[in-house]
Amino acid sequence: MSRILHIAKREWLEQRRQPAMLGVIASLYLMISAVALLPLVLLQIVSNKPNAGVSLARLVGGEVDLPMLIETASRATLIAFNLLMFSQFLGIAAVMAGHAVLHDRQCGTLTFLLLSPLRRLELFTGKVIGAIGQTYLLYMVISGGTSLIMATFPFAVDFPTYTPRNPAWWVAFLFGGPAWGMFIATVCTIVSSVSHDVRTSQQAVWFVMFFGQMLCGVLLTDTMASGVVTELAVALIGVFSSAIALYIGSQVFRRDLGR
Amino acid sequence: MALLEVRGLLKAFGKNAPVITNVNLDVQAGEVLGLIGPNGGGKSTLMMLMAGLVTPDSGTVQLDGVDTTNLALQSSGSVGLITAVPGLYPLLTGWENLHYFGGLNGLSEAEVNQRASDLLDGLDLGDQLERQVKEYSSGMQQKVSLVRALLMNPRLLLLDEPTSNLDPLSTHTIHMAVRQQADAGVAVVLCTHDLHAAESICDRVAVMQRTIRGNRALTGERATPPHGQLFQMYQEHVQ
Repeated sequence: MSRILHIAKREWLEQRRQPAMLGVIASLYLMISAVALLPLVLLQIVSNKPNAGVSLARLVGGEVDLPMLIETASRATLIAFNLLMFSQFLGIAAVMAGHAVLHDRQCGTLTFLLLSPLRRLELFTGKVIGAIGQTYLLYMVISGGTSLIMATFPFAVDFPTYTPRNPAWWVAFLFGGPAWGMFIATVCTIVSSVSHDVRTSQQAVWFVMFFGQMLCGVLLTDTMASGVVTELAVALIGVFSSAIALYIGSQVFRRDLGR
Repeated sequence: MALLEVRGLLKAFGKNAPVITNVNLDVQAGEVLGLIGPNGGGKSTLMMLMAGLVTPDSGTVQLDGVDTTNLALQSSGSVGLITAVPGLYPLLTGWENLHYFGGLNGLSEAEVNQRASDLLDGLDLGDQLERQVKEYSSGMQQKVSLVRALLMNPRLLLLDEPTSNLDPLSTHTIHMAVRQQADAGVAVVLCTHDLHAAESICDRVAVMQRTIRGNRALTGERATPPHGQLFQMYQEHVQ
């Protein structure tokens, strides 16, 4: 375990030396948060106006069911935020992992890693954790913080399904997202270990990322309405898939540089 | 018994003609063997085979009786390797690189500091190790790579064109450090195009060449000839 962390820590150190890259990732999370918070604040303002329904009806030239409109818009915003939160986390994890081993190949360090007494599973797991560690931290802080703010809105009290007021949300946020993030990152680390150039790796990572985002992002968000048990099952499938992918990765990743 | 024993080595990549054919080689402890030959002659592949990083199709490479393909896990740090590409992380400092690779081999930071300090004497790196590797010259990078290779007190040191991009002074520094290691009992294989260096520091030389069938084999293994005669020997075997 200490050698896995040793590998991961080096990845984190190198990532910290590239603040622009971490800045881009943080900006993406912040933009998603802003895009979700802004409509909720606007809906809050509208709902506090006593004659907002009348004004809106006059604007559209017909009848407006304001409470229904606010409910629909709030629900859509919360679902969209969760979907984006998970899918972006998974997408960023894919991109970060997509050059994990390739970076070593390009720096010429892979030769020396393979010369050290590391087991392939240790090296592979260290690379995956190193690739997603800081992304995970930003996801926890920015997306988690935004979600907690959202939970204070009156709509969240009325429709708690897609907010931290729902225990299933916590299962998805703390276990489901990270488990599927680990799976996607592992698959992309396999891609990076068999790719000999950045272009090949990017194309394959994009392919994995697209389906991973769609499948896992929708799956994690959709099952929040089904309760804790279902969400826990989704998370466990993610953990199981990650373990299998790690094993496959360690088998694909040979000590033989001549392959 | 030789420290490094290579017997009947054969390696082909895919369906292509073998890169290495029937190579036999012995290297004693304290000896520097120079490996010379034309580009594409299979020297680097032979080095990777000796390091245990490429698996042979047939034949064996043994260091002190242990097959080198299992060496990394069984006998950590037995082989020190330097390649033409220094293989350092550019965004990490020299020290951070040494701590990282030392840590992978089970050394604590204090142990790395202590061992590296001894090795750094005479390499003229001063306090440069505090800077990020991307700011280093090729010579500085190769010196750090040399320190990394020696951190674990290897019994076999493999050098694959370690001075190909270096200025004469850095080249001399590295060659002297390598000779020093051999004098201390380390077996060294130096793969180089620099015949002058081979004459200066190698005890024996061997030429890798293409055979008539396009394979690469080891020929002309002998004691290093007197100064100025290695080029003649090289010409005889390669042409």
